[in-house]
Amino acid sequence: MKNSLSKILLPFIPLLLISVVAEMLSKYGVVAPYILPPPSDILASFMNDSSEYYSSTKETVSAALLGLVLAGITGVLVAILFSTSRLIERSLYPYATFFQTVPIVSIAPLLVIWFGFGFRTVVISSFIVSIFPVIANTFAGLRATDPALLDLFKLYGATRLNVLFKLRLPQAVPQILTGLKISTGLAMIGAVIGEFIAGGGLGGVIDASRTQQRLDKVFAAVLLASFSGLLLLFLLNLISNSILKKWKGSHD
Amino acid sequence: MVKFKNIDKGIFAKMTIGPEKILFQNVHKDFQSTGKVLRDLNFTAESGDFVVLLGRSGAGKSTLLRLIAGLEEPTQGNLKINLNSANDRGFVFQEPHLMPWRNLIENVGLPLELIGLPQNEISKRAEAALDQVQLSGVSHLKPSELSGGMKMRASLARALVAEPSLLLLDEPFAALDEQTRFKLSEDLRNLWCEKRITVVFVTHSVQEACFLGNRILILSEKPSVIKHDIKINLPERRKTQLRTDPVFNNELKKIYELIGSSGSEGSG
Repeated sequence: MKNSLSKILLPFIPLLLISVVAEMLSKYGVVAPYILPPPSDILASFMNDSSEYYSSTKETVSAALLGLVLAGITGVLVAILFSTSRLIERSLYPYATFFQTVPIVSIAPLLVIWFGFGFRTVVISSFIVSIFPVIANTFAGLRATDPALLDLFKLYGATRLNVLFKLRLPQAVPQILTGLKISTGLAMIGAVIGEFIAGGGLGGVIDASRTQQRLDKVFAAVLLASFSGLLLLFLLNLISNSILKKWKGSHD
Repeated sequence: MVKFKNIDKGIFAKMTIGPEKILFQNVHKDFQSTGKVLRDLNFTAESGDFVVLLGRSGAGKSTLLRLIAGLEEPTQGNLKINLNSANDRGFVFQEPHLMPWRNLIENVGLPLELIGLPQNEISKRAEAALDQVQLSGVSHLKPSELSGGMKMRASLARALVAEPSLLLLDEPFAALDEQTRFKLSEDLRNLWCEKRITVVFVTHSVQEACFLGNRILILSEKPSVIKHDIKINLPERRKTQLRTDPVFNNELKKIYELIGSSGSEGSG
């Protein structure tokens, strides 16, 4: 109990120290507030524009979550498709890696042309950035099936569908979850970058405040984006752990 | 008149049960990667016998077992396995190979599920199979919650659940500690005494072969041929205490002498 409390509280000590130093630097004029806003300004900005931050955060998180869910479903389906045939895998896998290597900033304007400004484009941006880890991890999991169990299924004349749904997919569950965890952070990044170009959400706030030289708002929005990303990751870890616990049983 | 044919799906179709359960005639097996594994193998096994395949690591014992199971096909020659149906054989691997996400009863019921039996029938027969290997109280635990010996028992129950007339075991107890191994060997022998199904057991341990088998086939080094075919003169029911009995030691001595003499003969 004491241990877990200190685990939560300890990371706040460096944050507090950095804030104090930053406050001093601004207060004594070492750094201009338009370069590094004093933490008190950022705090004040949180208070004054709380409703704006609330709705933007909600928008960004919804877009990231939707992108992540779509990436999860599509990624698993694509990986299943790859696992059904070497031919399909060899001809399509290189295109799947495109999702990993594409600099999302460079195609975001294209997405706006195709899908317009707003939420839809942000979701698509988040989806593009977060789908590859799901595909790659699920596919690796589907391929790493225990050969002895495959023999066992063969002995009893199992159909391909039986092998997929009773063996390959359930055996891949831990890897699918790993892929989803990697994708969670990426989904948030994809959403914020999408909003830079397509507008709305925390990305929109950052972009607009930057042009108005409101660095306090930039910092506030950046902090909110990071914290909501962490929160998403925390939630996904909770879900993943409870699924894994059910998956393999526990010693407790 | 026994008809020979190359192994294919046809051999698992219903056929008249002849006197022999397993028949190998001039069977060769080569692999592209490892070359010749089995060379000109001839042997028969009677229905209801307990046959042990004994040989060193890499002597092709597992390949021979996989040929019997129908998991491999011979490169040359004829082999015939008398089975009542396509699902009439059980297979136990070197490791338990249970599915970690399924509890014991779901693991053991898997063969029946794949055959397509109704769910209530599956649970009933899976419970009965677990009972046979003395695992009735833990059917709802996951494999990660069990000891190595219990996992191997569950694996045995899975091989028995479809009530096969042929049970194939590929060094199933090799990874267990000695006491567990002795206990499981005793229980397996007991099971055989009750069920009288044909058992083919692969091992590299002379002691285990002697304790378990009615008959031991000793394989040579690769490419393997059957060097010796030994009948074991021990009582039907065997307890672990038998291992210290002079009768047991006499049988052991017989096997060791044969292995020793064949070792000096070379593989000509």
